[in-house]
Amino acid sequence: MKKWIKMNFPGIAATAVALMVVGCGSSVTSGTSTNLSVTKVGSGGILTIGATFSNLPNMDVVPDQGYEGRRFVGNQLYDPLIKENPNTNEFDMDLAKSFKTTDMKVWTFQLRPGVKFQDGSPWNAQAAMFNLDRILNKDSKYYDPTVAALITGRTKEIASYKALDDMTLQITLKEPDSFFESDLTQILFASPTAIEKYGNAEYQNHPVGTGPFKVSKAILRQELDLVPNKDYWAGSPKLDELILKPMPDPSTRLAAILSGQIDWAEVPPTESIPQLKQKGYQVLTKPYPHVWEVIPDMSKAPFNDKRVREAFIEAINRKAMSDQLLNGAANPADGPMFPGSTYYSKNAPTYPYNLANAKKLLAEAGYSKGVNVTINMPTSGSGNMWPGPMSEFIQEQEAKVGIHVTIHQYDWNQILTQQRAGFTGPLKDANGLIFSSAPGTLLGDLETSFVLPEPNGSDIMGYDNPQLDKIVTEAKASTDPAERDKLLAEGWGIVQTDIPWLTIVHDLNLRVLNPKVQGFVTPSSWFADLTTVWVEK
Amino acid sequence: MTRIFHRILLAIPTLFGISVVAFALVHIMPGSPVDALVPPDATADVRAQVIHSFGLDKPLPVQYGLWLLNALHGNFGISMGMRVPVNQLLGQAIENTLILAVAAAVFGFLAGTVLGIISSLNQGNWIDRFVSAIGLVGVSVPAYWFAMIMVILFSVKLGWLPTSGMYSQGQQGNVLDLLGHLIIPAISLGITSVGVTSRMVRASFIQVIQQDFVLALRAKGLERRMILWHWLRNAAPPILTVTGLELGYLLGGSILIETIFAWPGLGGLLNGAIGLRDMPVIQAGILLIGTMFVVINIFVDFANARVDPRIQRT
Amino acid sequence: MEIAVKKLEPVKKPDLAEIEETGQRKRSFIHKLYQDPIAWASTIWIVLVIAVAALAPLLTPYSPVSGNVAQRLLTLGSVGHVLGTDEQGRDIVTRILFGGRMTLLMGIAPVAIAAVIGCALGVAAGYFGRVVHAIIMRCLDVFYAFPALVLAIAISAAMGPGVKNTFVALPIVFIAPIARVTESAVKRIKGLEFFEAARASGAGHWMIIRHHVLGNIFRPVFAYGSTLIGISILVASSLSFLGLGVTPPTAEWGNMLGSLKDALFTQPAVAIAPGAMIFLTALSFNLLGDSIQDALDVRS
Repeated sequence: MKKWIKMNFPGIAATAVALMVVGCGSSVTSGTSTNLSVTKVGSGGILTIGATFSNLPNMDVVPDQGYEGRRFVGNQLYDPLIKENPNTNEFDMDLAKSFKTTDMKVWTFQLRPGVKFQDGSPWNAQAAMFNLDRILNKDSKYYDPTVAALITGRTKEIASYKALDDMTLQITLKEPDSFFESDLTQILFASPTAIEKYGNAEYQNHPVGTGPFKVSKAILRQELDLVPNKDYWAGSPKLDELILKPMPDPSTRLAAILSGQIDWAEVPPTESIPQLKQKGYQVLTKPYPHVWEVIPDMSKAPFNDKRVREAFIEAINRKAMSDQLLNGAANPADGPMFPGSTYYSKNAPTYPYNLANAKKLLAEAGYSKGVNVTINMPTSGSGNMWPGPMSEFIQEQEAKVGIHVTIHQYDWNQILTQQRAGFTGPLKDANGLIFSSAPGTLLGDLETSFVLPEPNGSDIMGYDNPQLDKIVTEAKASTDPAERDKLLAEGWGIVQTDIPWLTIVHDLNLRVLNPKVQGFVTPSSWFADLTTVWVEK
Repeated sequence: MTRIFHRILLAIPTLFGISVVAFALVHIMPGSPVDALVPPDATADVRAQVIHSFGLDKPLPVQYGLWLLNALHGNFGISMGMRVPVNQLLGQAIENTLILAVAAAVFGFLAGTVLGIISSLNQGNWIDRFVSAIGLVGVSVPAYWFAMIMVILFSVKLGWLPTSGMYSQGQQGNVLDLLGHLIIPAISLGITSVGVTSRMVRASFIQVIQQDFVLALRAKGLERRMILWHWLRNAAPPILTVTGLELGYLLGGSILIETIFAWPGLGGLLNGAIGLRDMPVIQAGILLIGTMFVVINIFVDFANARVDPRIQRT
Repeated sequence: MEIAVKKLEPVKKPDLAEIEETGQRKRSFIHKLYQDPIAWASTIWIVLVIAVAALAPLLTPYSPVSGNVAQRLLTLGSVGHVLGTDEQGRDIVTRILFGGRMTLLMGIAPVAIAAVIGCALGVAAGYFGRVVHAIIMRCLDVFYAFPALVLAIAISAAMGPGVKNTFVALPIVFIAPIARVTESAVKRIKGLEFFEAARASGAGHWMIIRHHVLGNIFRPVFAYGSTLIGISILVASSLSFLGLGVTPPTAEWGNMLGSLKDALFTQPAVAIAPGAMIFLTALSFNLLGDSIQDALDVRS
C-alpha cells in the first residue's frame, strides 16, 4: 500500500495542491457598475479589444464575421451614404450630405464635398459609381462576384444608377421601396485608386476607405492595428491606436481583461459579471434590436399547431433564464421586438411563463401524452449568446410539460447552411432551429423574414399571413417615413400574435471595459461609435 | 542509398492515400461552404456564380484531380473563409506550430532525459518508481485540464504568464515575449513526451551501463563523464527515434492546445477551418500534417540506419 | 497523444516444450499480477469507478441532466452539494457518477471494437502474406500517418457530433496500430517450427488460424490493447471537450470540463473536478496496462 501511495503521490499531490490553491480566494460579491464614460474629458491612449470572432474580419467593403465584423472593422474603415446612428437608431447623413426622393423609386444624393479617401483620392460621384459597378455591373472591369454575392441582399432592388454631376448621384430602383434607406447604411465605399492599384484579390490586404480609422498593420488570426484617420470628415477619433484581437473563447477574453492584456472584452462569461463589477470594471448592458429564438418548422407536426408553439414558449421561465442562468445579461422576450423599440407593438399578446396553461394547450392539441422534438443548435456565432447552456435550460423546462427536446449541435456555418436551405433541405428531420436575429435593424427585415420564402428571403417556417403581406407592401410603397414605421410596428405585432418565431430572450449587448477606458457611449445597436473613445494613461 | 529510395517509393501510395482521405473527408462533411459565402437573401444566379468561381460545380473526381495537380505545384487555392491564398495562411501557421512543437519536444526531451538518467542510476529503489510515476502521469493527464490548471495558477492567480496568444500586442519578433507566451502551452503539449522519453532513456542507459565494455571502462577507472559520453553515442539512435516520432505526434496533438491558447498554428487553423467548412484549408491542412508525419518517419528511419550500422543488415 | 508500438522481443528458436509452458504461463501471469501492488491499486480504482457508475441512481437523489438554475455554480462544500453545482445548477457529484458510465464506455468499447477488426486485418496480413499483406498494410499506413487526435477530430467533424459517431471515429483510429501489432505477432509465429509442421500436415487455413495463431497472438494483442484504453479515454474526452463527442445534457467528464470552462475563473475548483476524474481513471488504466505487460513479459 505504501508503495502504491509513493508511486502515485505526484499525481495525487498535484491534484490536491491544485484544488487547494485555486479553491481559496474567489469570492463573488455583487457591486455596482460604474459607467464613467461621460464625465471626464481627454484624448489619446491605446485601446485593445478582445472580440468574439476567431479570425480578423475581411477588410473589403463587405466584412464577414457577422455584424461584429462591421462593428469593429467595416464601419471603422469605411462610410456609407447614410449611416445608422448607434445611439439614436436614426439615420444620419454620412457620405451623402442630403438626399431626396419623392416616389421612393428615384433617389438623388448630394454627395458631401471635401471628403477624401485615406489615400488622398477624392470622394465624388465617379468614386461612387466605381463602387456600385464593382458590385452590380457584371461587365465592369472591376466587378467582384464574391463581394457582389455578399451584398446582394442590399442591392437587389437597384435597377440603375448614374452620376448627374460630379457630386450628385442618382439611384433608380425597380419599384418603390421605402426600405431602401436602411439598405444604404450597409453599402460601403472604397477608394477606386486603391482597387485599381491592387486589383480585386489583393485589395483586401490594403483597404482604403473614408472612415475614421485606417489599417496600420494586420497579422492574420492574431491582431489588427488601426490608427485614426486624422482627416476624417467628422473629426479625428480621439484614440492614438485601436487594436483588435480575435478571442473566440469567452473565458480567454475574461482572463485577458483580468490580467490587463486587453482593455475591452466583448461578451465575457456571464458568471463573471459580479466579480467584474466588484473589481471596478465597467460592465455595460443595453437593449438593442436582438432576439434569440427557435425557428420552428410550421409545415409539419407538432409546430404546425399554434397551441403547441404557444405552449413551448410558456413552458420556459424566461425570467429565470435571463436573471439566473445569464446573470442579467439578457431580458425575457415577448416577441421579436424589445420594449422601447420603435416597432414594439403594445397591443400584441405576450406569453407569460405558465406551466399549467402550457400543459392545457398541449392537451387541447392532442399531445397530453407528450411529444418529441428535435432542435438544431449552433455552438457559437455572432449574436448567438451562450447557446449550449441556454438550450440545455430549455430542454429541462420543456421536459416538465412533456415536450422532449433532443438537441443536435452544429457549427454556426452549418446552421447558416441549414437556415438558407430551409426545412426541406438539411433541416428536413428537425423540428426547429436555434437562431439569433437583428429584427428591425434593416427596414426590410419584416419582409425578408416573414414574407419572402427562400431562396429570396428567410421565411423558411412555411408561414404565410396575407394580412401581413398586405401591410408590408403598403409600408414598402409608403412615401411617409412615419407612416411606414407605424405600419411596420403593426406588422411586427402580427408576427408576435402568430408566433412563427418562438422568441425566448433579448441580448443586452454585454461588454466589459477597463475603468481606464473613457468616452464610450453604450449603443442601442449592433454597431458602435469608437471616435469618442479615449484611454486614460 | 537503395534503402532510403525504397522507403520513399513505399511512401508514395501512402501519400496518395492521405490526399484521398483529405479530399474525401471534406466532402463527407455536411454543410456547404458556399452558404457561408452567399447570404440567404442572395439571388439564385449570384449563388451559381460563386459556385462556379470556386469550381464547385465540376464532378468530384475532376475537382480532386485539379486540386491534387495544383497541390503538387504548391498551390493550395484560395481560402473560402478568409479569401486569401491558402499558402499564405499555411506558411505562417506551420512556422508557428513548429515553434510550439519544437519547444514542447525540447521540454519533453530535456525533462525526460534528466528523469530517465536519475531513474536508471537509482534502479529499483523508490526514486526510480517515483520518477516512473511522473512519466506515467504525463501520459495520463488530459492536456487541456493540465493547461487550465496552469493558467489559473500562473496567469490569473500569480499573474506571471499571459493567458493566451503568441505575442502581446505590438511585440512581434520580441523573443522574450514569445518565450513568456510559449511556456504554458509548450509544457502542456510536451508533458506526454516526458514519460515516453524518460522510459526510453532509462532503458537504454541501463542497457549501456551493463554492457561489458563499459564495465571494462569503469574497471580502468574512467570517469563518469566519459561513460555518459559513451552512453550518448550508443543510446542516440533509439532516443532520436523516439524524439523524432514524438515531434510528429506533437505536430498533430497541437490542435487541442492551439485551440485553447489561441495559438495561431496549423492545428488552430485546421480547427477553425473545419468549423467554417473552409474546404481548401482543411484539405491542405490534413494533407500537410499527414505528409509531415510520413516524412519525419522516413527521416528518423534513415537517421537511425546511418547512426546504427546494425540496422542496415536486417 | 502518442500510440507507441513497442517492439516485441527478438525471436528465440523455440521447441515444442514451449507450447506446454503456455498453461503454466497463464497461471504465473495471474500470480504476477496478484503480487503487484500497483496492479491492485489501479484495479481497485477502476472497479470503484465501474461500481459507482453502475449504481449511480442509487447513490444520489439528484438528476444528472436537470438542475435548478437558481443554484448554479455553488462552490465546493456547499450544503447538499459536496463538489458544488454546474452552470445549469446540476449537482457535480451526481454528474461525475453518471459521467463515469459514458467515459468508461468510450474508453473500453472503441478499443474492443478496434481489437476485433484490427486483429482480423492483422492476421490476414500476417498469415496470407504477399499481396494481401501489401494491400492491407499500405491501406493502414494511410491512417497510421495521422496522429490519433487529428484523425479523431477530422472524422468526428465530418460525421457530426454525437456518441454514435464517436463509436465510429475512435475505433478507426485504433485499428491501424492494433493491426500492426497483430501482424508482427503472426509473422513471428510463422517462423516457429510447429507452424511449419502444421502446414505440412495439410491442415486448412482456418484450422491453423484457429488452433495455432489466435491463441498465440492473444498475449501481445491483449497487452497492447490494455495500454490503449487509457488513451481512448483521453481522446474521447478531448472530443467531448471540443463539442464533438457526447452531446448535452448527457453527463460525461470531458464535456463537463468543456461546459465548465467558462466558470474557470469564478469557480476554479468546481471547473477542474471532472478533469481530476479523467486523469485518475486514465492513470489507473495505464498503470494496469503496464503491469499486465510486465506480467506477460511483453516488454522491450
